Amino acid sequence: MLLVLILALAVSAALGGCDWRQGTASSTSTWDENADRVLASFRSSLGTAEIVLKARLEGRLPDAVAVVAVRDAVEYGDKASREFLVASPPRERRQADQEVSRACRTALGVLHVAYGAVVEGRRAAWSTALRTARTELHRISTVRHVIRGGGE
Amino acid sequence: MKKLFSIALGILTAIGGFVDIGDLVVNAQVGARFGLSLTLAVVVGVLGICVFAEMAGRVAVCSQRASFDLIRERLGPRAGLLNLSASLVVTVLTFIAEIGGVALALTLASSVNDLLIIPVIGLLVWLVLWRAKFSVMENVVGLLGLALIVFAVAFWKLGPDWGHLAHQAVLFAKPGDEDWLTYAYYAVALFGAAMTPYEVFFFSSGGVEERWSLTDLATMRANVFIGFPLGGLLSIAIAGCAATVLGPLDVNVSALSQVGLPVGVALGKLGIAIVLVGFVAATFGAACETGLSAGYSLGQYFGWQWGKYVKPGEATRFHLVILGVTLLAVAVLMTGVDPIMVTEVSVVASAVALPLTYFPILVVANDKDYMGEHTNGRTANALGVVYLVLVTLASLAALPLLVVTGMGS
Repeated sequence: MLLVLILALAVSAALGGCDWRQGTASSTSTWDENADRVLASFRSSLGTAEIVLKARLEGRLPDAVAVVAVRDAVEYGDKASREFLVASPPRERRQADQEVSRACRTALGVLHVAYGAVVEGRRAAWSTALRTARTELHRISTVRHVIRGGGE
Repeated sequence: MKKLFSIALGILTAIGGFVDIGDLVVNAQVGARFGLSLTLAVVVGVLGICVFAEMAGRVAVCSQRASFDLIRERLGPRAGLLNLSASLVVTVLTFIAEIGGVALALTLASSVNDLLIIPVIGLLVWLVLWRAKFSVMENVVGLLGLALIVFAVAFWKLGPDWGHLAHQAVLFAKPGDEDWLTYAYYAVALFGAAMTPYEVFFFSSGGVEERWSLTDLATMRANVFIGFPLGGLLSIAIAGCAATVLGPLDVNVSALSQVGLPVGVALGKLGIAIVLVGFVAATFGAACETGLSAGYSLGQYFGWQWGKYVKPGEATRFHLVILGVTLLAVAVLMTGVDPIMVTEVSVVASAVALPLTYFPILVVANDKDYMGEHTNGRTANALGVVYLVLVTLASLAALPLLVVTGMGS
């Protein structure tokens, strides 16, 4: 029973730890960390969408797998975005926060378009979504690079 | 000829049954983030499970009795209860993760929401555990699990930079943008995933179920020393595929759908069809093994009639435990908890519980009253002690690393 208790406490501390970081940002370092994490999440989601769309265009993925993979990518990005957006940025990161929030919203939109394209099942839509996902992936990487370089 | 067939079948089912949801998820996560730089953790973990599975199998052969029964008798009810509690918590967590894994695999094949599939999986697992013959269950899911060899084929077909991957594996070349604590967290998670306690208890309880005798020692050792390491190679292939396809795009593996993508990229729709069979077989097989292990551990500790070689009516408490944990698993998963998160927690919990589960096996394997002339030799004891130190270090480090790294995030 003691082991169960210790384990439960540790898990809740770990999960709770994620929550404090996603809560009201108390310092620039916390905000930087959260911004980096959300941008990394979107990079991951967009990367997944890129792999799926490319494989779909080459006829390497069945419909069901493509749909579920992009849906998972959308949900992952959406969750990361919601966790980031609930936090208030510190004064010196407000402008950067707006930029990251805008990047998140755009990336989420791109992911939704990719999902729509995969569900729709038209080649032309996949090509367009793939191009958009690649552009957005590049843009997110640039924003992340700027944030990692010291914010504003 | 019959003996040879039996050995070959045992090895094949050991390979096919080695990989479970923990191995699938953690190896893909590690491959995508760290390439093959954590291969040593898998190798050390696989060797560790070989050491303790061989000991537990030898105990079953020599004593014709199951692990928890002997542990309670040899170490007393209190130490036995500690061992039971640690193993049971990890086994039930793993059982929940495996049922969730089957649902995710079927969702991937059908696009149907996993919440609609989970109750059906629970029912199927329970029906198999209640009605199916032990040998049929073990052989069918083990052989179907061999479909995961498709990862090794995909890895070869992807044509990665072998020199770079070998460099990562040999020199533990951690990527520059990752910190050492996260690296250590994943090393412990991989170690925990490879050394999951239920595999050893299921293996030895299966030996008692199948009434292994001294003439089966060679078969048992072949299963362990050939089957498990080949299963470990599948784990490395999963990491290699993720490193080659997902790593360059910084994809963080958070869903089972991402684990199979490299196979699709390499081998197309046929590869995906095979990998889906492998996912379902590996997770369904492991769900059956963990469900049975929960019944085995309680039945053996409390001295109830247990096992699938007796009619369900003669082992009612054993089957009630299986029914209870199945209902619990379905209930937990129906709350909408992410099965991947449960998997991550279960492999870390496994690492925490390792010393409590493996130390008693070492003690019993050294007891001449049970083992006779097959008591642990110097090599087995040396390896056993080295691994006890390793599992203790992993156990002590697991929770602090989990908290500090926010589950490796």
